[in-house]
Amino acid sequence: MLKVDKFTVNHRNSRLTIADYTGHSLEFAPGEADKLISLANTAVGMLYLPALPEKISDSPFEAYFKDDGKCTITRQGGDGSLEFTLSDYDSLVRAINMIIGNFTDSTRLKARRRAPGGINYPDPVN
Amino acid sequence: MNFTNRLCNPTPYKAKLNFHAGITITIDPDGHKDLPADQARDFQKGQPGSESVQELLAAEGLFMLDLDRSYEVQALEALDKASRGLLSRYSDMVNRMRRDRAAQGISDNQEAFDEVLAQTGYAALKERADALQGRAKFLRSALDKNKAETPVQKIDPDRTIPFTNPPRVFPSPLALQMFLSDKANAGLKTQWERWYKDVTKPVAKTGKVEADVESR
Repeated sequence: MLKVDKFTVNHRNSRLTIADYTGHSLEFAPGEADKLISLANTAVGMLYLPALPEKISDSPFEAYFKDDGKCTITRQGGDGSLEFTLSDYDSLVRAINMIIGNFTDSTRLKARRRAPGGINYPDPVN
Repeated sequence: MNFTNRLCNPTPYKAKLNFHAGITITIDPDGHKDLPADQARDFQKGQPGSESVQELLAAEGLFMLDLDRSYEVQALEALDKASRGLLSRYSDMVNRMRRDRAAQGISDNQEAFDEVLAQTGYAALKERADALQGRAKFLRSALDKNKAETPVQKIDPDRTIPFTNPPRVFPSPLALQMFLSDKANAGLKTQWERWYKDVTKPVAKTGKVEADVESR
């Protein structure tokens, strides 16, 4: 489990979880991370507008706008939610990228350990 | 994610990548190289076989510039990855060497041990990892101060329709109007016109969000 400012991220059994400061969390697959960041980016880009739609969608996620400048991302027809504001966006992107990086590192390490001969590092840099 | 064809090197070392058939890509320290389209594609994430390429970039501390995120944040990530990889290799080597020497009954002599590390090239590896960590530390402290890591791209309502799945941003307002003029998009046109009227209505700047946006 990692903490990035107001967000906590974790990965288990190829499922990544990001929790916000309110205790709500959203689970997503590694392949859905780009969509999650893209939707958050669009939502944040709209937050400065005087009139906002009720929600914007990018399957499988939906972002709902609230009157107090907060935005909540949920999974379409599923459970879990993630709340953030404009100032949290940087942390949110960093948290998602960090857990993706950790997940990728750990899967590569597992694959190397399983490979015949175990870990075989290249020659050192001279 | 809005990747460019710019391969950046935030490290103080010259990076050399053996691309293909004798072609070597060289990137100067603290520099960058604008790759031709066919080369850039091979370095982007999500391409077939790109995992090993990404691993190579991470080991060298290089990254493809993403316009959606600031250079500093991406440089910090690249430096962290590279230094982590180098330190992991270094500590593995040191542990293995200590174990082997103990098994052979060689007495523990730090000077001799340091000499062996220097001869095998692992001392240079450690120096390199320390240099990268120093740079990462510098960037991290600077980023913590100003907290403005990721530039937010404001949505232009003249060429954006938020009611589609996913929301679509057209290259120009006329392109959006052309899309909305299709008979199949009559419902979307009504929704967009209603929303656009609200968006363009002049309002007093009192919202917390507006203040937040202006402060960035």
